[in-house]
Amino acid sequence: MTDSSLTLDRFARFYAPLAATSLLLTATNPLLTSAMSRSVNPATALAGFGVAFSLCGVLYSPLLVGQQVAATKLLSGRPFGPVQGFWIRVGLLFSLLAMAAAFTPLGEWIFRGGMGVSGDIFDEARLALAFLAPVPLLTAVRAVHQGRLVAGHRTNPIALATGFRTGVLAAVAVALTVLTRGGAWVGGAAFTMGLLVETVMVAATRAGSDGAYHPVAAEGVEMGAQDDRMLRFSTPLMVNVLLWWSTPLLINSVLARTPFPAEAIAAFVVVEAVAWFLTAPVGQFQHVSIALVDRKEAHRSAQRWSVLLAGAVAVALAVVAVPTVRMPVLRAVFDLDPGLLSDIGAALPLAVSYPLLYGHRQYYQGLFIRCGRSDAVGWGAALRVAIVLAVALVALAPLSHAGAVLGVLSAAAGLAVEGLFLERVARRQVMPMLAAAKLGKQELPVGEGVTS
Amino acid sequence: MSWQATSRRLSLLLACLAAASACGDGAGRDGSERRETRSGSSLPEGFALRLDRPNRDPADFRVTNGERGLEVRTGPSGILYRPDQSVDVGDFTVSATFTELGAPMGHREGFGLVIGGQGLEGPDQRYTYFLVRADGRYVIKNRVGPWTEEITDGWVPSEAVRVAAMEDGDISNDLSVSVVGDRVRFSCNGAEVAEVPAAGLSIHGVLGVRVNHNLVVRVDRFRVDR
Repeated sequence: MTDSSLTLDRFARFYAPLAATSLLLTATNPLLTSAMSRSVNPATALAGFGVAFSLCGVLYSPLLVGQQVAATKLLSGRPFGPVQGFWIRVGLLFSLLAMAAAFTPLGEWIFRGGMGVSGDIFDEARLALAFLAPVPLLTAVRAVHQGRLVAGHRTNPIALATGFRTGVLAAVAVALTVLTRGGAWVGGAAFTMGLLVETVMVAATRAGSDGAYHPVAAEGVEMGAQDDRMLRFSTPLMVNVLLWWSTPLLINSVLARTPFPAEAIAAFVVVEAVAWFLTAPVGQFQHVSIALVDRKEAHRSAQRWSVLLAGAVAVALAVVAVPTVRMPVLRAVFDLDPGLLSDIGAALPLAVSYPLLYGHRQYYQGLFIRCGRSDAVGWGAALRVAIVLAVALVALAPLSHAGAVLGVLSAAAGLAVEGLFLERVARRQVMPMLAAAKLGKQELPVGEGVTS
Repeated sequence: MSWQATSRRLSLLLACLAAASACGDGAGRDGSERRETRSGSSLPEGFALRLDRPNRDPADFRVTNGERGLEVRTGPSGILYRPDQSVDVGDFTVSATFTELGAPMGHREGFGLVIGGQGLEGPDQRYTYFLVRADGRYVIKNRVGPWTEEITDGWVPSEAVRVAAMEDGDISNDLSVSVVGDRVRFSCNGAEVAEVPAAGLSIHGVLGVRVNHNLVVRVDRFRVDR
């Protein structure tokens, strides 16, 4: 996979399965938000779910690394049992933490004190978190078994289980929406049920060497390397994942301080669900730079096809963002009042920047990983979060009536600055390496997943 | 083709889209558009409307004046008032019967009375409001500009507030607010649910009603006793 003559055909054959799986992963949020928009109290339901899920994301994202660790340990001949036991204990601890936030005064401290959420959003968020509490434990179990399957070169069952998860999630969300009055808990219950089915499927699949290694668009990580340098190398990547999942929490915390928090958070949650679903095809660009770029010529070719795809995705998003297109689409997918749809529609054009900015970031992160410079990835992520927070706070007053615009603007600004940082550092540190020689194989992508 | 060149082109497209989005949804986005719609809205003679958010369309806040009182159908949340109906000094009691029509079970949008309305046309609006909702709770809040301050600890459950007995049923609640000296009493269906000091509240000014999102509420027997 290191030939510099990277044709469009080769790029497409390599990348199409990744993009497809990525779309499948990110379909969960539009499905859930569409279901919750049909609640009796849609704005508070969506806002409550947004708040609860952003906290849940912070709790479960560190566990995604379990896949990498399990694969690495198994490949180095270590037994699976101790690895599994360790990650299950960590997952259980995080699930207990989520339960504590749902059922004890800890929730008051986090939601009210930290995030500034109160009233009906607080009630909805706590109930949703109660349903989401098993997610860290399930994520840990799923991650180690995914790692076991990756080590056994069995990635197809992982993709199959992901597909089943999306299907189960959709079925549960629809059933609960039809049978109940809805609420944020519907999103929590559907998400947890989907994840439970996926976890059982990967846990029940036997490993065996029956296929060639291929990167998978999972939220976790892939085939591990060989030695204890792994931890040092992986730490910035874990920080990167954690910071990615912290971003919605930060933005929601700022939106909770606007005059109309429920509408602001609800509109932001819906815009993000739509925008990241449409952006999903570029979400795995790190695999392109890791697997296909070993010299400058390959970099140019890979970049060309990546830009082409990102541009096409941005144009697709732009078409959806056109007022005459977006309102009928939003009305059809989300059963919300015209005011909230208007808020969502106003933010959508800004999200057109996501495919380019996110694709750019993913590609360069992959290059850094390929070159063994994961520290740059970690610093870039830290810079992004700082910018997101700064922009959100500065724009809070002027955009207090346009919460979704505020949220998307902050996220896009963070991605833009992170991209500039990564590109500048890459010119100094990565390009000379590409120009000098072929790079060795490096297989340590820590995927953060753009959703669940 | 590079990331930078493509980004520049897309930025241009983005700017065009942002400009288009500013006028494309039909809902008002700026004050002038809102005023224009407001002047063309179908409010009963003598009534005025103030929506919470300037980018909401007043046409989505529909009011009809029938034999059984005002029927308000929202859309966006806001207050409905008569600019000439105000109490500027002294004690008074304002009361009205609010009936939520076709209330879904568990609906958590409130409606009720407004007192002390000042500056309702401008950005520094002030008023105090007392709302109930279909899940048997009430809230008292004070609004200053776009911000609200809760006088009660959020939505408070009360047996005085009637709840829907069946899906899509109608619920009626008689609400009243009495200002007596330096105290303000809030009652629902004849039972006092709260008494708070008048200090800090907006007491004197325009009277009216408030209806939150996506509700159908009939308001009748609105009266002021001084």
